[in-house]
Amino acid sequence: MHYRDYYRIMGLERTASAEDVKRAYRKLARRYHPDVSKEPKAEERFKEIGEAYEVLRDPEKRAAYDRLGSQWQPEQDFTPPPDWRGTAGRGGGAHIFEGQEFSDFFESLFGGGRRGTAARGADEAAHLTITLEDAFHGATKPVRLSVPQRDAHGRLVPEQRTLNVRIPKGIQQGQQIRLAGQGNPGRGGAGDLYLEIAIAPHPLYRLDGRDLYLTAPVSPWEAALGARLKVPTLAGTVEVRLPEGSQSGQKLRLKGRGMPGTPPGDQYVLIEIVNPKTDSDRARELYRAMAQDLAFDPRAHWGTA
Amino acid sequence: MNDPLKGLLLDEFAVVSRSELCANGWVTPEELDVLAALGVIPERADGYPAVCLSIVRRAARLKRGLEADWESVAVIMDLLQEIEALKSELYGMKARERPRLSSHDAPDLPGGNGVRRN
Repeated sequence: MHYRDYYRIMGLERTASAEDVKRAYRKLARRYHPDVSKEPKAEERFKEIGEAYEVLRDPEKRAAYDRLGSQWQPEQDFTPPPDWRGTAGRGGGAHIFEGQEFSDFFESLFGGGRRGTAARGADEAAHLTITLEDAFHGATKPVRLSVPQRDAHGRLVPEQRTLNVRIPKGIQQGQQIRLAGQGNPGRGGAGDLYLEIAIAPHPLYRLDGRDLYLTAPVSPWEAALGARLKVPTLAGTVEVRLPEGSQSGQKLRLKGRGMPGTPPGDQYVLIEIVNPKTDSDRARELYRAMAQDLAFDPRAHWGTA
Repeated sequence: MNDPLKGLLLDEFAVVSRSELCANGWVTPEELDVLAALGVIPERADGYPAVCLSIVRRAARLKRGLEADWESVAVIMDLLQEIEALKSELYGMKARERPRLSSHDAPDLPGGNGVRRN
């Protein structure tokens, strides 16, 4: 186990007043609170800050912590002094971070960080990125977690765990799944695991809520004369009638072909006319023939002719 | 591998009880009533949409983490929700916009003067 320099974590001198501690915490909390912060590793940093504040704001805990002395270096190997047990401000008190697991350094000094003696283990949060296909069809995905477990001596040691989690079909970006009892262990039972789902960008489809967007490149003659297009959807290929006289930017709606739900989303097919290259004499000849035979000015509405 | 774990999807269709919401959201029943009175969650006697659990947990994290009062938390929640809605709208607009031509075919507009480089 490593020593934690709570003063350094909060950017404070050891002589800081209670008011200084509060002020420093509020400033850091605004910066690193994971719900409002854009800082990298905000969650990790915020947990550290929260733990430091839990100790430094409580006069009894702070006095006990100060008795360890100032000779320790951050991350130095640490074992509590032999006469430590019973001297620190344990238990009780209103904690800020209900449901948070503290470091083994904290726990070795102050015992369980949560309210009460039979507290439930801390809840855990994890993120899982899945493919659009998985979100559409539903899937079973392995979720790898590093969960602190208590060893034979009651110390917290990280343990790698893999959970096989059922992802329901139609799950949306940012939705959470609660897995009861899969969080951190505790005397009053394990906490829960909250799994937040992200859907990875797809090379063909773009997702907007439950609707899917797909770009269909079409030739000028398909757009002009109409055509039957074979269009991929996540449930398989469908044939779609492209109406005569279609233009780039128009979209065709495939009702109910979007993401499953109540109601299901739609799939939109965006028409994009792609002109053939003028890489042969014949191609140039055909373009010239159109220029000559078709009375067409796409900028007629500008009135600049 | 073990049987896959089936969790509770926190959406608007699944339902959680008031006591579940308090226990798993880390709030007291009185705090839950304050959140309902402020419009953060719907006012119900029991049976809340499961998505309320994500909302209540976030509200509790903000309250304790920022040492804020519930009124400030409600304002922060509204603003965060608005930011998320705007981000989602922007994402949707990007999804709906006509795809750009490939760089091979795109007219090159140096300095935005509309002159195509040949």
